Amino acid sequence: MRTAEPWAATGRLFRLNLRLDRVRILVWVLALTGTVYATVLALAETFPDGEARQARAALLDNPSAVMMTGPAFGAGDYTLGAMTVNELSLSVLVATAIMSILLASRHVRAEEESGRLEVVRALPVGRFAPAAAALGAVAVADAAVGAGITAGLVAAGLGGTDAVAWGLATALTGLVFGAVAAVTAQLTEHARAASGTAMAVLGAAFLVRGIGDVIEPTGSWLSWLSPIAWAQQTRLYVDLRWWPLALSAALTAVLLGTAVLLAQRRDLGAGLRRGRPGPATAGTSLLSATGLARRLLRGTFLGWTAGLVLFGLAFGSLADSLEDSIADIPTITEWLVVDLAALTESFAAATLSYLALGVVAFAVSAVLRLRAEEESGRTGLTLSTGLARSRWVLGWLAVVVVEALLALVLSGGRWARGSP
Amino acid sequence: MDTPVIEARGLVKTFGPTTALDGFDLTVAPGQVAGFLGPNGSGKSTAIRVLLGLLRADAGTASVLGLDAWRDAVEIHRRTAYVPGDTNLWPNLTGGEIVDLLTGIRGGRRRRRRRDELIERFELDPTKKARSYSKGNRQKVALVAALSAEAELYVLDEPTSGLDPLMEAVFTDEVRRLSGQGSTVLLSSHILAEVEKLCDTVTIIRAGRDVESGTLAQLRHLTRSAVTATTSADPGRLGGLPGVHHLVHDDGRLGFDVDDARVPEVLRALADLGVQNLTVTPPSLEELFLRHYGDRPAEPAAQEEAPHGAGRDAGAPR
Repeated sequence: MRTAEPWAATGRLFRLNLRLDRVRILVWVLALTGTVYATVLALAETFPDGEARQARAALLDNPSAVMMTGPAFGAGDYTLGAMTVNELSLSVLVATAIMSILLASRHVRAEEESGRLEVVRALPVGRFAPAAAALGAVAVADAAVGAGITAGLVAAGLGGTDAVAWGLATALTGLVFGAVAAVTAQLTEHARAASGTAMAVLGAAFLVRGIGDVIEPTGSWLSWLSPIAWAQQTRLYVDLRWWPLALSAALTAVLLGTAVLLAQRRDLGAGLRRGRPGPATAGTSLLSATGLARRLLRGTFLGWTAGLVLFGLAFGSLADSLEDSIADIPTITEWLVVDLAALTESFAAATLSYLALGVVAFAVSAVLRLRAEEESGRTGLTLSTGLARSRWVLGWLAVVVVEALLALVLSGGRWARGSP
Repeated sequence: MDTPVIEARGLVKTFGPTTALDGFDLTVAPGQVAGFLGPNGSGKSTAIRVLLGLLRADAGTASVLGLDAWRDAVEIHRRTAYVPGDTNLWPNLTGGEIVDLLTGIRGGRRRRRRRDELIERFELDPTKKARSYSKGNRQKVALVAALSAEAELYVLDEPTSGLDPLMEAVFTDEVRRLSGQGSTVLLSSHILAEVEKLCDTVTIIRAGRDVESGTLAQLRHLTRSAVTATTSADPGRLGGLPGVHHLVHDDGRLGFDVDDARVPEVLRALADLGVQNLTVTPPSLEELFLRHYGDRPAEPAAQEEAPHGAGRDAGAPR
């Protein structure tokens, strides 16, 4: 049955979302704008002339560089613009995607999970209004980030149509992942699981783009399967083309349509995948401060470790092919002294530093869970059982340390096993 | 009678393997304060969510204010105010901001004076951020937002959970005022005294079905009054009268239950006995309730096994 006025009060909720997020959005926009501005200036200083940039361009084929940057457009005439895009676009796109995922799952799922949506929906508010208002807020945040990036580029002297295109590409990519989160929010009952699933999609998009571009430096068929590639394939500051952005817009529309369809098939508060019942009694492993910490961190730990292990495996297999690919190009050794072992090592070092970054991110979020436990009042309940505060905190930290080390060893294991 | 404000027929709602509503009926006439009783997990909140169009029933029909609960939810909500049983608020907004936000989304005439009066009556500090509110204070925010709205129907789902007795008294007052203005109120509760004090009609829900429904007077007719008296005569023949149950006679003190329909005859017999200190206590709602949920096997109508602990649970707030 169709419902009357499904969009009622969308504007009002949209303003509420912006009110709740104004600081959050501002911080993201300022951080990304500042990063873009500072990076352009830093690159201009480090590589003051065409010769210096051309020397840098010679290293663009390195798979590790390709994985961590973008398709190597304009390597023949490596301008400051082309260089900035190559060095920076991936980080900016991924950061904007993360922001969009967090904002979307916060407004779509967390409001529903907390029961606040029930209060709101009992007001004269249309069935689709809360989700529409949430994505509206994400769109505003993305647009603000896009505008900030354009402004940062213009301020750093890289103005022109390409600056606008970069801003638009970033905003649209953010919106794609916001829409991904809107879909995953329909599938699970919990905001954390919804954003985790969307993050996994982002991780997959990152890997697919990277591997695709390693196969072919300016993008192979595989690259085109990743929304991140679409933004980069606009060939900013080299030979600008707009049409890849149409793919981002189209995918956003498809995802939003899917989210609406899924939303109609489920009840308020429920996910399409229903939570399974758990055990009625606590196992012995749960009955201690560290046991509780392990249990509460289980999902976070498993998610991060699985992601990092996959990352490690994917890059490990790249390292193997790296030597082959360089050995295949005999000319390269003629004009460049390449020590294959050293190249693999530097690739390994770059990869490991990313893996370590992932482990640090896990550790930080795991420690911050302590704060969430306290704010929700659950810590009070735990301590009222006679558990000493020091044991609670130390036990929790010990669990985080052990799990972080475990994640590091598991994900970096591919490298320790002696890649040449 | 006018068109009912709420009319639900044969509502069924399942969540996976759980059946929350199983052929539920409810009728609330205009201007009534309708009590909605049932222990935790009996389907009260599910029924309310279906009536508000937040959930879609698997079967059955639900109309509110003459409109379809699912299709016309937005229009219904314009004329309805709702207080959920467990209120969660935006932690970084103040209580006052949230009240204004909720009344603002509702639209309609702003009633500043009424809002301030309610905030004062419920002793709510509107400048505090919601994250620092206790459960009772969060509940007050929802109550102030709902009660300051001008609505035809107020749906209150266990609205006094977390309120102290003083605030409960203020709440009782405010509900009386609403019904005095001719508004309709649906009040779900497991606090029997509250329902007894406020409600014109009562619906008792059990395992997703309405098992009893009617005015308090009607419901009482189905049950028995407790009689106590003192007498020097031999009351033995009372035991033979139809409608008299559980007669105990001990040292001149007399006690028994009587079917309400038989009270006149029994009173005549008592007069013949020359009784003194006579009391006839009508059945409390608690007794009605325990008939459906309690451990006490009473009427043949209530032979079903009560859910574990449900009777104790429901009786506890007294």
